[in-house]
Amino acid sequence: MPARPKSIPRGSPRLATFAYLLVLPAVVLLLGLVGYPFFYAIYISFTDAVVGNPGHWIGFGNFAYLAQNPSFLNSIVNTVTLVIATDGLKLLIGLGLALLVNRKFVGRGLVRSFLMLPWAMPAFVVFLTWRLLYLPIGGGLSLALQGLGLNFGIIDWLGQRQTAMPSVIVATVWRGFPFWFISLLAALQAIPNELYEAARVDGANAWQRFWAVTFPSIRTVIIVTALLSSIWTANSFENVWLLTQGGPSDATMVFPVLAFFGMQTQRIGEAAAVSVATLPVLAILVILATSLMHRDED
Amino acid sequence: MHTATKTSGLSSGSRLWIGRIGTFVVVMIALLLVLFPIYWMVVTSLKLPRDIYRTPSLWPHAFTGANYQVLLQQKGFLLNIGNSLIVSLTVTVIAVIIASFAAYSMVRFRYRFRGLFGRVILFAYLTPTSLLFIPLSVVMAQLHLANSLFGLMLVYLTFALPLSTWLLQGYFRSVPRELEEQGMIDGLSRMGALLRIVLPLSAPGLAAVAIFTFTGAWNELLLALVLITDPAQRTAPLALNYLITSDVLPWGPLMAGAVLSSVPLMILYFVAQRFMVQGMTAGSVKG
Repeated sequence: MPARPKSIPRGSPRLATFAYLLVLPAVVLLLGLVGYPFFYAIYISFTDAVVGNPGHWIGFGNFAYLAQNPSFLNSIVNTVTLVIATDGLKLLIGLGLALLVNRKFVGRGLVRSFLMLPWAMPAFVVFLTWRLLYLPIGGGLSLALQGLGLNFGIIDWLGQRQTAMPSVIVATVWRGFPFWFISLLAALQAIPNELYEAARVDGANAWQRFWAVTFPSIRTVIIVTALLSSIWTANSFENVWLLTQGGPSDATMVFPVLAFFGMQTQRIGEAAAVSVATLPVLAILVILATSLMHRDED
Repeated sequence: MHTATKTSGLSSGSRLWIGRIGTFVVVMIALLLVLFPIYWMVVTSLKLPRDIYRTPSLWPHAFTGANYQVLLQQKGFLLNIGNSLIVSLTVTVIAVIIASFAAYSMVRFRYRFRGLFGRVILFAYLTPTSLLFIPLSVVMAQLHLANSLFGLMLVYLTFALPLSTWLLQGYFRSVPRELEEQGMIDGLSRMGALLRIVLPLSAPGLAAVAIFTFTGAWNELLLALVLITDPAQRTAPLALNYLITSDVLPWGPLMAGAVLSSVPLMILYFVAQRFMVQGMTAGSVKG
């Protein structure tokens, strides 16, 4: 059981000073490195700043421009598609595998270790490897499909509109499902067996036991994982950057990549506006996640 | 085995076996799908160019170390690995020290703004790099720290510090307060109690946090891409990123670089799995 923090008694200013001194470096660094840039990003999104020139306040000019910019509108649709599709699949795969590995069988620990591997790989390695797998000629995916007797001919997975987004989704799910799998497995293992026995005595079948016992016990973990995973997926850069750079013709453009391209054109006011425009939704997700994750023993 | 029931016409024994075989098949397919891309990465790094482009096959015709030689000798990848190591190790050491103090303070004491600090750290943890990279690049240019490994270390603290503070709070909560009090009766100061009792007892946690922080810095691409232009300062992900700008991609050396930058980490995770899983589920770690 976690020890309850003792409040600093009155009349011990030395202890209070000590507590503040310990926390000070972290707070100062975070205010300088995260707090200040955060508000600075919002500020420059309302200016026509370019690299080397702070520019002028132009109100909602950048946002008005973005609202009718096809690349930006595409990037929003694609980001939402990517988040919903990947998190839906990660939940299904992660939960399915967690339920299976939660059973006892020989080699279970080894299976768990292997299933974690995609998550232990750096994102840049994963998406470089998937780009190679998706090569139209000599790519591992086409060769593997041929090996299974499925010959689709030469498919440029990342190069044509219909297959580019699904390909990005598959690679993103491959990299991200272990996080769901491990979180859900840990939650499943924390469920006391007595609950299942009680449900069995009451005559509940497997399906009823899942909804009566399993699901309520892992609901919070699912919500927190979904929030975190959505925040990270919506803001991930490496997957689209290394696989397609947003192409073909914006079919996979997402807003972090668009903001990066904006940055390269030196128009940082406009580029910052791309990220800042998504802030309202991000803020809601972050506040929800924070309120579920924040532990404060008061 | 709570999914086998007696509700259908099958005997419980045969249902059990169907369940076991089903589990086995699904787990095997999942393992295959997980391992194939990793296999492909390793095998491509060991293939001759003609086996990659002209006569591709699932199994290599011949193994070669030439890709590694090209990467290390012509492309100077060792320099990039060195840069990555310097940045990641420094960030890890600084983040873990500062985070230990902050986490200990917030777990052990109650004071004004403690709740606020806790929330600031969580917010910082969840604030994505995609929002921060533009203002950070402007600030770093103003401070004349763009294009330097030192500047890179500084901006990596934006994710390393909140991550390690958040995780360490969880580990410190589980150290019994009584042990510290005993130590202080025996003459240790508060600081002594932290350094001699709390930190040693949290050693597995510290190790896990250090590995997570190191990995975060080792994997980072976007900030490096924005801040570093000098080829001599490039980190490993950045060097590989610049290898894919040509028309025909040098897949052999690229995958050799992928193997060199990922296999040590994968082995580390495999070996230290127990700690890592604990830390990951305690704090929910960004991948």
